[in-house]
Amino acid sequence: MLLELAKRVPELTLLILITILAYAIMGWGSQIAGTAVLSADAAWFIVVASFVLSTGIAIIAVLGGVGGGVIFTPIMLGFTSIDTLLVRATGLVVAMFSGLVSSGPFMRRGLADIKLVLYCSIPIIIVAMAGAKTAILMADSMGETGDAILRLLLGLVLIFVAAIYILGGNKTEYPEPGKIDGASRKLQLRSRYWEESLHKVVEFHATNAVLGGLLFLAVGFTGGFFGLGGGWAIVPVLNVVMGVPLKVSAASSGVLLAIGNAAAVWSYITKGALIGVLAAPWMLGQIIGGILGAHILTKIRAAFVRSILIVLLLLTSLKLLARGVEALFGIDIPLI
Amino acid sequence: MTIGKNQDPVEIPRSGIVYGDIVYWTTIAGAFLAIVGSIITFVTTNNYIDPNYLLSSIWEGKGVAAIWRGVEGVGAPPDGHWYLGQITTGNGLTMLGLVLGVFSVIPGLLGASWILLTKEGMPPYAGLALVAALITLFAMIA
Repeated sequence: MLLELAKRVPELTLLILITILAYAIMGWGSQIAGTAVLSADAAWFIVVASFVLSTGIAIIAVLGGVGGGVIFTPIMLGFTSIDTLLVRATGLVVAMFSGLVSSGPFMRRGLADIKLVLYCSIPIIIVAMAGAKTAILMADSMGETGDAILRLLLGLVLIFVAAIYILGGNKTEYPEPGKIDGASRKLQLRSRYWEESLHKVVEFHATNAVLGGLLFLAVGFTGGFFGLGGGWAIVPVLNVVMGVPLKVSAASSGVLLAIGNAAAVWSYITKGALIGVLAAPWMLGQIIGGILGAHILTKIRAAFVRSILIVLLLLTSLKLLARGVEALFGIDIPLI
Repeated sequence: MTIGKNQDPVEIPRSGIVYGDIVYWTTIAGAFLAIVGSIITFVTTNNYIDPNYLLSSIWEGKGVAAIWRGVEGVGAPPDGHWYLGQITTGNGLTMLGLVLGVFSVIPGLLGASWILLTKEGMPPYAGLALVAALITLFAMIA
């Protein structure tokens, strides 16, 4: 499969070869002298390890449609002493680049639908900014208690969503929305794509467009408020509420995240919070992993995507519940 | 939702392909620039900020303001697109690669908007694409 992919996507092969060559040159001809904090070898190792880890995260993130930020941020905050602003800025790069590069393969195969993406992107873009501003205001007025309560509530919501996927079984893979409401019909939120794993054409018509739009306002707000990017909630809203097939939901979610985060990341860039030497290996890993993930998603069965999504939702909820309890009761839960 | 029994050709909306292709190829171009920038950063001394200092400061847990304050000849965090004046240096070129990827959304959305309006007869969606592009553009220049 990888050999076939290498022939079919020559730019991916070229990118992988050039990246490996580049890291070999950087290791061999490094002018970095090293300091008491970080030796020259350690500096090179961190860059290469970031790239490898990012590639793995991107593949999982594209398959689950959640954006890599949900995996990246807890790892960086748990295992390194890197400043949180630098982690959040690099986290946005991680959240958006696999989505950016997978837009091409997904759109060409009809797995992501442009009408669905555009309809859902506007509420997310606008309200995410409001969410971020509210987070700053709430931190001043309600302090850590309010933040902890909201984290706990969000964790419970994610467990509820994961339960829907577990109990709903394979009904969530190709949902039957039943009656299509007038708004969804007027918005022409319908499409069809070739389902590689079934060797059949799948046709769908999204429903509950108004409710979906309102929920995307909430998704955008909480995404901006918690700095999670919102990827964890986009797939459930598209799939469970709007009746979009699971693989289309996962693919459209990645494309949506890229558009949503593209507006947010500029403030970090212009304020110097995005630092190339730290972010570049993560970007490269997201691009290579994003292309690989996009091609894998077209081939695999929707059931596998559902399993990945359940695991990611449960892990994220666990992290949110732990952080909420830690802040509320002042205890330390040794959880990544 | 219907699962068909045949292999009907699936017509993919051109606006989606235009958006996807612009974003895909621009992002890959950005990746190549970032690779060249990273090589220059590591194997030459042609850098705006000393990578030795930068990596150690990041790993040490220094904040953004503290890192920029310690940069020789700079002294304060930037306020704008600082890398544009430094594209011949390793740091500047790496940042340009990253930024090119982020920027790709704007021409992608504008291209999709044009196709939705002129070829696919969907003015409301063309409007949504235009609004999304303008918000991102505003975020970039504001």
